[in-house]
Amino acid sequence: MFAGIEKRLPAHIKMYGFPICHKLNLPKDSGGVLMRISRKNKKRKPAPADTKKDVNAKENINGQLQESLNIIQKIFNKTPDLTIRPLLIKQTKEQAFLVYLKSIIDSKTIFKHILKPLLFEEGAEKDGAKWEVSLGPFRKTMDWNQIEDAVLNGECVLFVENSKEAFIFNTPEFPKRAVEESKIETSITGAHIGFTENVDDNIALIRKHIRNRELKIHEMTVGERGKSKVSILYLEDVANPDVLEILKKRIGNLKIDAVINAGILAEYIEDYPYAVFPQMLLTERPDFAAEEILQGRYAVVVDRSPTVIICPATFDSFFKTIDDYSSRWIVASFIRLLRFVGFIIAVFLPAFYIAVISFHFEILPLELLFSIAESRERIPFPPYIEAFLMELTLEMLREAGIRLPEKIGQTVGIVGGIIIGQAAVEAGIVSNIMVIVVALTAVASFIIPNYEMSSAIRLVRFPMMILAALFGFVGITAGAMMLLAHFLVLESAGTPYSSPFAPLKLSDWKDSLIIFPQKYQTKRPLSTKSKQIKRAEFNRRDGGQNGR
Amino acid sequence: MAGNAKETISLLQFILLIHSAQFGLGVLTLPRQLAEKSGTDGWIAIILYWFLATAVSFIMIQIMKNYPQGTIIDLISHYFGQWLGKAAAAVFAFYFAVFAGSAFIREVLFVKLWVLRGSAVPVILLLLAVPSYLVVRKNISILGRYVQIVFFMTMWTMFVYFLTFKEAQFLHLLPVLKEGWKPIFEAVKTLILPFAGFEIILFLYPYLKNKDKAAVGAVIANTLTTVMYLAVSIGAFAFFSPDEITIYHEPEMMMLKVLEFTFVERLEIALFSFYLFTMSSTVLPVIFFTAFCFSKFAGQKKHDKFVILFLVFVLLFVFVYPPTYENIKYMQEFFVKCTLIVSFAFPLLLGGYMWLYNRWKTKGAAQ
Amino acid sequence: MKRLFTATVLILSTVILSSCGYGMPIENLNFPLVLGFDLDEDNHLLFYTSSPVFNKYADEKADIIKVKAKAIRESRKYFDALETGDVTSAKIQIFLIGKKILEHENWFSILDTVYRNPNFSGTTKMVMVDGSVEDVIFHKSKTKPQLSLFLNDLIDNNVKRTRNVKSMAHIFHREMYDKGITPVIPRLVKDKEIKLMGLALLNNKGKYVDKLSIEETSLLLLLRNQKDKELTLSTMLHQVADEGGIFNKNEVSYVVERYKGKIKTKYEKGKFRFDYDMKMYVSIDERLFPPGQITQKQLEQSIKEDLTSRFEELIKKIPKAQS
Repeated sequence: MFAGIEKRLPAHIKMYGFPICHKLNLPKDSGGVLMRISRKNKKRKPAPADTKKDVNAKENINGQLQESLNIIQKIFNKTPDLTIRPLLIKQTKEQAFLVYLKSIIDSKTIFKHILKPLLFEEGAEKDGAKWEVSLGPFRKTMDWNQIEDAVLNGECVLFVENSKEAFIFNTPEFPKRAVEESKIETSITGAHIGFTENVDDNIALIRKHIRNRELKIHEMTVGERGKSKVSILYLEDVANPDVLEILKKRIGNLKIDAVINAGILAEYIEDYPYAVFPQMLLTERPDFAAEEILQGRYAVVVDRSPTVIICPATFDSFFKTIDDYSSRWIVASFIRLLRFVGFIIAVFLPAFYIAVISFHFEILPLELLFSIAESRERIPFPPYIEAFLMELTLEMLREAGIRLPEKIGQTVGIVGGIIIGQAAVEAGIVSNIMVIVVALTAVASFIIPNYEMSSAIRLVRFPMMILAALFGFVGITAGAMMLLAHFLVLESAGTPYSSPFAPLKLSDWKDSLIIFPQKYQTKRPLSTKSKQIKRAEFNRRDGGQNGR
Repeated sequence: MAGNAKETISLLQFILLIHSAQFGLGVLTLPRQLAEKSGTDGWIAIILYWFLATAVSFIMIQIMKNYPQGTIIDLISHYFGQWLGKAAAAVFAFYFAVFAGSAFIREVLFVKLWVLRGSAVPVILLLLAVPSYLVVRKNISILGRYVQIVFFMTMWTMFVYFLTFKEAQFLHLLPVLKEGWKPIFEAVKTLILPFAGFEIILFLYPYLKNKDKAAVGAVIANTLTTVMYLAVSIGAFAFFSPDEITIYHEPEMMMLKVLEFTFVERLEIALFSFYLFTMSSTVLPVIFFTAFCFSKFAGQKKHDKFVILFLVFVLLFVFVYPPTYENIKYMQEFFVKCTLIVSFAFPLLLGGYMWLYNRWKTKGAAQ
Repeated sequence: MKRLFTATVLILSTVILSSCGYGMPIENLNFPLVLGFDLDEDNHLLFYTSSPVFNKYADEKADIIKVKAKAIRESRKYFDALETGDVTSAKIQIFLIGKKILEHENWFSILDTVYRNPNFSGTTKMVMVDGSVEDVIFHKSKTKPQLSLFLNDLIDNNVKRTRNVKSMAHIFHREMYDKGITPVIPRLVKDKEIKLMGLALLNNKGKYVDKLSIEETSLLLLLRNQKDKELTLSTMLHQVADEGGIFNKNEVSYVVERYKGKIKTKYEKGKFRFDYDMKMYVSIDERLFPPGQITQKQLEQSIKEDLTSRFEELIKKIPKAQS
C-alpha cells in the first residue's frame, strides 16, 4: 500500500506540482522539500485518504483562464458529470467559465440567478463589484483545495479572466427526501416529524423547537474522503462546557475516510467502545432532541445521517420517549416502570428458566412443577440447549423481519408463529413453558424504546443464560454483579452513566423510574452537570400569586 | 493523592461503605455466637459494642483530621518518615489481606453450602472473582457507587426476614438479664468480628467530599450496623427456642426456610443467591483496601494489578488448603487478634501520640 | 501483550468454569413428595417414598417405594437402586411418622439430616399416622388427588379453620427443644378414607402420650393464641328443653369473630401460675331450637360456662402429657 504511494508520488509531482511552481516563480526546492516532508509524515502515520491534493498542493490560481481550465480538467478527470460552461459576462465583457457537477446542483438556480444575469443583463456598475448575480452570498477564493471541495459539495465556481480569485456560488441540490415521520421511533401523541439526511434541515427542525439565541452551534468537519459537516448544538448558558471540550477533542481527532452515518461517529466518540450498553443516545426525533438540549445535553447532528447523537446520556434516558411527557403522568409512570421491568425480564427470564429447570426446581409451587415436569418429560434436550435453540430462532426471526420487504415480511410472522408455537411443542422439541418464556422475552425487549439499548439487552441475555446453565441462581447473581460493575464504570462524555441510581441523585428521580407531575419538575437533571439547574418555576394553579 | 477530583465519595457512600464492610458475613453466625455466650440476652452486648465502635471511630477521625489530604499511610509517612509509612502500609496490607481472604472464602463456603452443593470451592471462587475484579480495579468512587446501589437493591431482603417473625415467639426473650451482666460482657468479645470494618475510616477519610460530617457519618454507619444486628439477633432469639439456637451454625438461614408463599416455594434458595450481593459489598471494599495498601507498599500508583494478585493468591490458597468451616474459624480467630491490634490498640496509641504532639506543638508555638 | 494475557485468562477461566456445571433438569429427577417412617414387627426402620411419575407410558401416577434401612441418608442407596432418576429430597411435602415410632423415646434423632442438609425444605409438614404408614401411603382414592397434594391441602384447610396445626418441620424442631411447650403433631387415621383427627401430644423426648379430638385441638389453638381465619364451635344448651328424638334441638353453633387471649405469668411457691383472660366475640351461626326460649344473657352465660369447663378439662390433660 505504501509502496504504491511512493511509486505514484514522483510522477504526480512532476506532472502537476513542479510546472506550477515554476510558473509562479516559487523557489523550486522549497516547495519540493516541503511537500516531501509532508509526504514523509503521512507515510509514517498512514492517513486513510491519501489522494489529497496531488495536483495543486498549496498553489493558487493565477488568473490565466486556460491554465485554470486545464487544472480543473486534470483534477476532475473521469468525471463525466463535470460541466464547464464558458461564457462572456455581458456586464464587463470579460471571458469567464463556470464549473459545476451537474448531478448535484440545482440547474434552475444556476440558469436563473447566475447564467441569466451574467449573460443577458446589463448591470449598473456599483462600487467594487464589477458584475452582479441575483444570488445570495458567494465566496471568493484563491485556493485550489477550496475550489475542489466546493465543486464536490455541489457549488458552482466561476473563473473570470485575469481574476486571481474564483467565485463560489452556493447552488447545491443533492437528492433528498421530504421531511417525514421516523419509522423507528414512532410516537402516538408527539410531533409526527423526523430528521432527514440533510444537516441544515435537521438543525432547522431543532431550531423550530428552541428559538433562543443561546442555542449555539459548533461546526466541525469530519472525514477525509467524504467530508461531512458535524454540528454540535447546545444551549450555551445551560450546558456543561466540559462536555463540549470532550466532544470537540474527540471529533477533532478523528481521521477516517468518511462518516457514513451518526452511528459510526457515535462509536468513535463513545467513552467505552468495548461496552455492551450504548453510551450515546441516537434519535430520529427533533422534539426529543430539543427536549434533551433543553435538559442541558448536547445534540450532535451529522450531515447525511437522519439520526442525531445526544450526549451525555444516562442509562435511564434510553427508557424515555417523548410520549411520556405528552401523556398524563400517572399513565406515563406506569409505562416507564413497565419498561424497566421489561428490561429485567428480557435480560434474566431465559436465564431464570434455565436455572430453575436445571438447578432449583424446588422453588416452583407443586402444581406448576407438575405441569412443567409433564411437558419437559418429552423433551430430549437439556434446558439450556432448548433455551438457546428458541432464543436464537427468535433473534433470527426478528432479523429476518427487519430486512425483508414488507410484503414478504408477513410470511416471516406466520413461519415464526409455527416455529415458536404449538407445532414445536407437539413435536416434542421444546416445552410449553419455554415457548411462553421466549414469547415473554421477545415482548419485553420490544417495549424498550431505544433500538440500540434493546439490541444490547438481546445480547446480554446469552451470557446470562450460559452462567445460569453452569451455576443456577448463583451464576445469574454473578452475572448481574458483572453487569452492575460494568454499568457503574461506564461514563458518557465524562459524566456517570449510572446516574441517578449510583451516584444517588434523588432530585433526578422525578423523571427516571417514574415521572412526577410536570409542575414538580423544576430542575434540570443533575447528571448532566448543567450550569443552570432551574428550568421552570413551581407553577401553581392560581397563577403563582402565592408562589414566588 | 486524593487529588483527582473524580475520586471522591459522598457522605452517604461513606456511611454505606463502612456499614457494608461490617455487615454481611459476621451476621450469619452472630445470633448463635451471642446465644452461646449469653443466651437470649446477647442483644444487649450489641448495644454495648456500639458505644465502643463509635468511640474508636471518633478517635480515628480525630487522627485523620491532622492530615486530611491523605490516608493513614500518608499520615504516618508525613509524621514519622517514609520508612515507617511503608511499614504501616505493609501492616495494613497484611491485615486487610487476612480480612478479605477470610471473608471471601467465607462467602464462597456460604454459596457452596446453601446453594451450589455440587460445585467445587475453587470454581465458585473463580466465578465470584470476576465481578469482584471488575468493581475493585477502578477507583474508590466506583466502589462507593457499587456499595450504595447494592444497599438499596438488597434492602427488601430485610423485610423478607421480618416475615419470619410471624412464627416467632417473643416470649423467648423474657426475662431480660436472666443471668446478670457477666455473660453479656463475655458476649461482647464475639462482636469484634461482626463489627470489624470500621477501620476503613482511616482510608476513606481523605476521599470524603464533606469532611465536617465525617463524625456524623461514622455514628450513622455504626448505628445502622447496630440496628441491623439487633433486628437480626432479636428475630433469631425470638424464633428459636433458647436451647435450640446454638444447634444451628447459621440460624438465620434456617429461619428463612419456613417462609412459604403460594407463588413460590423454597424462597430461601433465591434469597441466598441474592444475598451474594450483600456479601460482595462486604468483601469488595476490603479487597480494594488490600490492593490499595499493597500498591502503597510497592510504591505504585495503580492498584489493579494487586487485585489480580490477591485473587490469584486466594485461589491458590483454596487449592492448597481446601477450606472448611473449621479452617475458616481458625482464620477468623487469628483475624480477631489482628483486629484488636489494628482497630483498637493502634488508633488509641496513635491518637494519644497525636494529641500529645499537638499539645506540645501549640505550647512550643505559644512560648 | 496485555490483551493477549487478558484473553488467555478469560478463555482459561471460561473453560474451567464451563467444565463443571452439575445441573440436573427436572425430568431426570425423582423427587419424593411424601416420606414415611415406620417400624416393622421386629422394630426395624422402614422408609417409604411416594414420588410423582410424569412418563406418559407409565400406568401409575405415583411411584411408591418401601425400603428397610438404618437412616434416611442411608436409605438413599436403596432408593437409588430402585429409581430411574436422581433422587432428591428437596421437594418432600409431608413426613408420615408411624405411631409405632412415636411410642419409643428419642426417635427424633433420625430426622437429623432434615435439619442438617439445606436441601430439605423447612416447611415439610409432620404428620403422625395412627396405624400403619404403609396403609396410608399405598392408599389410592378414586375421588381425591395424589396423596401428597391431598394431604397438603387437607392440613392447610384444617389450619385455616383453626382445627389443626401446621406442624412444619422447623416449628416441630423448636417445640421439641423448648422445655416449656408440649410438642404436638397432627394425627392421621385411616379406616376407609384418610382422616385428619386432631392432634397427638408428645412428651419432651418425643414419645406419644395422648391425643386430642378435633374440638379439643381448636381449644388448644385458642389457648396458644393461634386462631387462624375461621373458627366455629358448638355448645349444647341445658336450659333449652331437648325434646329428644334423633335431632338435637338444643345445639347452638357460633363463629368466633374476634378473640383476645391474655396470659399473665407468675411464679408462686415453686410453681408457675398462668392466668388466662380470654375474650371472644361470637356470632350465632346455627340454632336448632325455636326463638324465644332463651335470653341473650343466658345464652352468653351458658356458652361461657361450657367453654370454661372444656378448657379446664383440656388444661388438665396437658401436664399429664409432660410427666
